[in-house]
Amino acid sequence: MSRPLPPLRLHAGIWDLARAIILLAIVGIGLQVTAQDTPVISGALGFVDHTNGGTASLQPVIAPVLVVPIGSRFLLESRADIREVILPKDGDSPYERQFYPTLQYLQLDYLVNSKLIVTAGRFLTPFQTYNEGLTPIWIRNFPDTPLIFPIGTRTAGSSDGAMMRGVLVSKPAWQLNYAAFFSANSSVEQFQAGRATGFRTGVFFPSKRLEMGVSYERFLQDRNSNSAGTYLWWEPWRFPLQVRSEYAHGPEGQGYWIEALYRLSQVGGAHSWMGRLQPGFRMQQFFRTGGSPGDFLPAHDTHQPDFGLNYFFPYEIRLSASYSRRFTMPVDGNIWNVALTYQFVFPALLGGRQ
Amino acid sequence: MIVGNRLSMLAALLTGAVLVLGQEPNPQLKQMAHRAQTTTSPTKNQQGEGERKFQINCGRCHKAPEQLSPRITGSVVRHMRVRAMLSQKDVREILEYLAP
Repeated sequence: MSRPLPPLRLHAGIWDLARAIILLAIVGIGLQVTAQDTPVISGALGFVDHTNGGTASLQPVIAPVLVVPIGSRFLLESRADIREVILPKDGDSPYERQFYPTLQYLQLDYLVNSKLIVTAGRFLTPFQTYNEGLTPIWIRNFPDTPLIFPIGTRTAGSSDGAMMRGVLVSKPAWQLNYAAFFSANSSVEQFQAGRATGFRTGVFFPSKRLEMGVSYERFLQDRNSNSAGTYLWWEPWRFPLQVRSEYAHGPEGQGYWIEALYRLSQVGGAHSWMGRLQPGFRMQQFFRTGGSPGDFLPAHDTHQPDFGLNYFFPYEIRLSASYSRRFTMPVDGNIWNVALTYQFVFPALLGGRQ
Repeated sequence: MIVGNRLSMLAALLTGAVLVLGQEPNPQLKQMAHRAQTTTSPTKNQQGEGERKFQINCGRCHKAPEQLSPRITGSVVRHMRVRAMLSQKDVREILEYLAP
């Protein structure tokens, strides 16, 4: 069976870029593997039991991360999310299986200095903080992504193009960081992205572990539109407390989420059975003002409190459970999640120079 | 029916986890995990500068891995240099913390 030729030159360009990145990585590995710079395979295995409004699904997941240093200034990184969604089905077969392999990023970084890192390839869209920082299944505090996640990230969360990032000003008391990007339009499978540009900038206070910032994205495809947002993270030194929040506004609507989690490590130590517990609460609301079907945002105004509980086993195993009550039209509903994840990290090459 | 299968799959996973967890982590790993999970005031006397930098930057999203081969610490920290936008000085100090 013949496949249709790519209709745009851009498609060929993206494939050329991918081939070039892989070739560069292979050459780089051959040229230089120093004592601490062996390529890494990391990521997680997971199993998610998700029930939404009485409809249950099982999701075995593997999320591998590949990190390949090349020389002293380049880094090749890639992450995928490969999952199967198993749903109940009417008819002969009791289950329906859907396979979702997703390439989240495949990027080449050039580390110029601490003020500038240049990235090319497919990367996570630097809009707000959740997409870049909290999407890995072994990091996120609640198994479900926030309601407003598609605002600014355009559902896929990835962009194809170039990005610049770094710390513009670094003082002992505060730091000013930034990330700016441009993405081309692509409909190539596993490289889907929209034509867009935008930036994120934030001020971080290390002594308080407090960061606040803003994001902006201009969507340059079909109907041009703007998305903007602001975020705040606070993790005090004295308490194992995490407070994170985001507000975002786009043509589809606006909303926010705020979560607070407290690790009970002050009760009997971090390795006591109580100290491994981390209860949490997240509140989120979304108010629709426009948009179209398929934007992956709730169809109506939605209000949702989430209650979560994480348990950190040794050996990088974590058990997470959450209950959410979704208040929306036409009917309210309950969402239950149970997720088990195992994080791994090991050298990608056997042996190696020491 | 699917509920029964879900429960049995989850039970199998949990059983596997319990079997793995039946082993006590070795003291070195416990010490490293303890260093990574204890969040206290950042004084130089109590903690190394590298640990402080780890907690300030990397530790905001995740804890330190319990076990990390010395062969890959450079790669891991370079990955974090991009993600957390670390300076070269931060990279050196965090490297000393992760692979003393």
